[in-house]
Order: sequence, then structure tokens, then C-alpha cells
Amino acid sequence: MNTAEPLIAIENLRVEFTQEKRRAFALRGISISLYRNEVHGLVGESGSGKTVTSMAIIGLLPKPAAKILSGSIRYEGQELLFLPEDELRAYRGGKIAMVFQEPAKYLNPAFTVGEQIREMVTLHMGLERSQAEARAHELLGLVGLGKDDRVLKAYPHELSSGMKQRAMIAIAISCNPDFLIADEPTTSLDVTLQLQILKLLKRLKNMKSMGMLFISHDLSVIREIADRVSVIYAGKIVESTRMARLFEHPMHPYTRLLLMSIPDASRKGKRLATIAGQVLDAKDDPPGCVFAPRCPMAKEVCYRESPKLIAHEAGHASACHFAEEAWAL
Amino acid sequence: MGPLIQCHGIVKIHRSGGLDGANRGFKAVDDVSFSIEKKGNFGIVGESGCGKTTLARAMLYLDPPTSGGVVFDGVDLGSLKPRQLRAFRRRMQIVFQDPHSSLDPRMTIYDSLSEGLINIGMDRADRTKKIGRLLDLVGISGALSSRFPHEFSTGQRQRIVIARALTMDPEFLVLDEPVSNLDVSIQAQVINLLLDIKEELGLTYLFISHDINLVAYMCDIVAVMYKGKIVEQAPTEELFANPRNEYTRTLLASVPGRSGQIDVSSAATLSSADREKTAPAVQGLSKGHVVSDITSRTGDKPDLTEGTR
Repeated sequence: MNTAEPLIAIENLRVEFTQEKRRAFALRGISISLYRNEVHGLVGESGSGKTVTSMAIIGLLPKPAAKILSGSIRYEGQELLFLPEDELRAYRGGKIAMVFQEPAKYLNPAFTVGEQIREMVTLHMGLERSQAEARAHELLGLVGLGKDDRVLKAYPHELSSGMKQRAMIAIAISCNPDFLIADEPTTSLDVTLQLQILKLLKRLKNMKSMGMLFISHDLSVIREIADRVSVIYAGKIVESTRMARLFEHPMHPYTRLLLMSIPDASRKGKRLATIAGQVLDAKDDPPGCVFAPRCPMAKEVCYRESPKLIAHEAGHASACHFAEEAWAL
Repeated sequence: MGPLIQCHGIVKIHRSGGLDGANRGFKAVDDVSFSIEKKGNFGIVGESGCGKTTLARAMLYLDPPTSGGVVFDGVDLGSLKPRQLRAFRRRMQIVFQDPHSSLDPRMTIYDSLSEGLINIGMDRADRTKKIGRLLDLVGISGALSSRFPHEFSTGQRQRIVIARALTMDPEFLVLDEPVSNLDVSIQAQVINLLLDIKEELGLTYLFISHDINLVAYMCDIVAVMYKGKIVEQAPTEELFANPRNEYTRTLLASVPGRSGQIDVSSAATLSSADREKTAPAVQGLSKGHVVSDITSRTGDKPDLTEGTR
């Protein structure tokens, strides 16, 4: 589908955390290609490495706890890993922006929304004060907060949670980023608000032809907005495909079971599928498949050899030795 | 089978006496009435702050209602003396959302589950037997009962909380967002468990959640709460096929993953023209379908209309 160069190419990224000599494998070699004007959903359970991925892209992994063991993250060919902090800053907040789950935590409580937008555009775009003022107006209009100057002059605590999320989106897109990372942007919101924010993000993406990495634990939310989706489990991408295809024809047993374990009215009266056992401990580094201990299809080879993420049909990759059989589970 | 529990016009007002002497009140639950059949599975959905949890706590007299009453198996809970009420509580238990805060971190699992049993004077041998049986029921090895809560995963902890709620052999369980903290794959395990023990022990459930898909899966009858009121109540299939209240419609339309991808062009709420068209029609309501009209609400008391068909 995409013949163009990826906007961001992550290749074989391995990240580990060390604390008091204990090691935890956060990312066990992930590869994702993210394109302009495309929403790429990243879905996984807690601790699977979703947020570590986004932090790695914008160079905000906690140091010295996190260590990048191998891999690369390229932005239009430019390697971002190990870029000096001052050069990286041109990307972070400028070309690459981020929206977080809890806007209350990431907005500065001591400054008004207007001041926080002005700070961004003067820093990254070198605008004069009056231009910055006008830009702040424009941005709040874009995110649906522009009726009057109230929000511009408001401190974060004066806004509702939906408004805070909109304000954070305004700040994120203030410098016309090419790429937006949205990390669980609607998780703390009620469903009616969630829908509004999803619509806003999708509208902005279309308008500005941005690429977007949309991270969520909730497959049904990803389904609403993503064009492509990657499923991450225990620090590995286990499946990556077009959004619709994932529901039609999941090729990894984990994805398959995940889809069958989501309750809704159509499953009433039937038992939900469950995945036995616990998520792989981050301390463990098995030679085989990370899902093997919980997989109903696991055979001897699964414990011995780690399956590679390979395309089984055009644009549909699965990291399973028995990908062709998984859908029949 | 008759109703196990009936709520009549429950009102809960949170008082906040300011320093200025003003006596402000916030009506968290506003004139809510419903009843739950024996062995029924009654769901309440609503967004945060709509009064779901307050209603549950008022029903169990953990925070007695400001007005209105609850009749449990023919007994008016409001008429009981504190001592009688405490004895009555054995028959109704509640499971909260966050298992981390509902288990005492300094007590072993065995001790946590023993507390209620000691209160009713059960001896140690019987207690051990019963706790082993309950842990087995929820899929936790009895050998782990001497461990502390922090040694378990969140999903296991929620199972332990469920086992503890069962120690008193209750007939009625209130499940207040019992799986909202859990990952999808673990959530499915706990939901299956809840449905299994309901069947096995003949329990009656009040299931509270913000997750409409989950309530649709779990419950026979669903009530939609909005701003302290039940705005619509119907058997699950009927509610989803035929929502009458404007808020219910907006809520259902907002549920992710129900109708494919979002359409950027349409507005989140119904336009006023749609509102005309879809204004709750009383005609053709089937039995058990109760709807209040919040679109034309001017005062604070919605008119409830129940179908008779």
C-alpha cells in the first residue's frame, strides 16, 4: 500500500532497563514503519512496551536506567538514536510531537494555556510575540476551544478533562509536526468525550497530512482511528497489518485470543476466550517465542526458536511459526 | 421468582457545609427506583460522576440514602437497628474496582478471608476448610493463602477479593467496576469466573460499569444512569435494539468499535433535527422498558413511562 519512504522507521530496537543489577527487557527487538498521512495503531496490554516505544522515538527514555542495546530509529533517513540533546530538540516538540494520557500531568499548572502555546511557537518557530498570540488563537480554534479568549487565559486547573486534552493537542500541533505520537490519549475520558477527541485527532491528521502513532490498550478504540495496526506483546511486535484485516484474519494466536476475549452483546451466553497463565516476566529472556508459555498451539520449536516477524501476505506480518494455522484456533 | 431487592425513590444528597455557614447539597442520586429479580443480573451503565457508585453504597446502607428505601427479601433495610443491619450484611457483599486498595497489605490472604468468619464464631478447622474451598473456586491455589497481597498479580488479587466477598455466603453481590483495572486477557478470566460462580451459587448480581459492551455481555437488564437518575431501563437486547432516550442513544453511538471507523464529518451529538425525529416515543414501548424524557426536561423530575405491551 505504501511505496513511499517511511516517515519514521524503527528497526530491531532493543531496550533494557537496569535497576540495582536487575535487568528487565522492555523491548526485545521491534520494527515498525510509520508513514505520512497514516494512523498506525499500537495495541498491547500493560507492560508490553507501548510507552517505551514512544519514549524511545522522542528520546525521553529515563537515563541511566534505560539502555538501548541495539537498533535504530530513523526520521526521514536521519538516525535519531544517540543524537546530541540540542539537535534532538529540533525534532522533539517540533517535527515530532506527543499527546499523553493524562493532560493534567503534562500541562504546566503555573502557566496559562496561551503562555504554554506561545512558548512552543517562539521556541521552535521563532515567532514574534504578536504572531505567537495570533497562532495561539488559531490553534485553539482548530481544537474547538476558540469561542472566546477564556481558554487562552485559563490555567490548566480551570479546564475540564476534555478541555485539557484539547489544550494539550493544541500545544502538540502548534509547530506543525509531521508526526504525532498519541499515547492513550482518551483512556481517562468517558466514551462520549473519547469519541470527540478521536474525531479531532483524525480531522487534524487529515488536515495536516501528519503521520500518527496511536497507542492504546483498547483494540476497539484503535479500530476507530487506525489505518494499520501492530500488536505488541512482552516487548515484541507479534503481528502487523491493515486494521480491517486484523479482525478478518488474525495470524497470531495472541491476537486471535485477544479478539475472542473482548466481551460484547454478540457474545452473550458464550464463554469468553481466556489466555492462560501470566504475561512473560520482563526479567526472562527465553530463546523461543515470548508467547509460547501461554500459547495453546505451542510446539517444541516455539520454545527453541524465536519466530521472526515476516509477511505471510502482502502487508500482513506475523511472528509465529504457525501463522497460517492461527486463525483456525 | 419475585424480586430479591427493591429500591424505592432513593435520593442521596452529599452535604458540604461551607465555612460561611451555607448548607449546600449535591444530589448525587436522584429518585432512583428499580428492583432486581432473584438470580438476576442487573447492570448499571453511566459515565464517571453519574452516581453509579453512590447508588450502590446507598443501596447497601454503607452510606444510607437521604430518602427512599430498600427492601431486601421482604425486609426494609431502613427499619433495621445497626446491630440487625450488620447481621443482615452477610447476605449482601460488594466488590470494588481496585483490588490493591481493598485488601489489607499487612494481612495474609488467609487472615483477610478469615475476618468475617471469625466474627460469626467459626472455628479454625472449619475456616481453613472453607477458605481453601473458596480459593479453589476462584482459581487460586490454597497453598498460597499464607502469602501477602503484594505477592499476587492484579488479576489474582481481584479473584481473592471475590473469594472474600463469598466467605459469608451472600445471596447478593454488588460488582462495582470489578474488571476495569485489568488487561483484556485477564478481564476475560475474571468475567468467566463471575458468571460461573453466579451459576454455581445461585447469586444475584448488580453489575456496575462504564463499559457498555461489557454490561451488554454480562447483564439481562440494563439501566442507564445520567446525572443521578435512571434515564432508561430495559432488557439488554431491547435497550440496544431500541434505545428511546436521547442520552442512551448518544452513549451507544459513542461506544468504540461498534460501527467501524469514525466518520469525521458527523457531529458527536444528535442535531436538533435528529432530536425532533428521535424524541422518546412512548408508543410501542415493550414491557420492562422504562424511559424518562430528558430532552424536554425543564424541572428536575423526569416523567417515567413504562410500556405495557
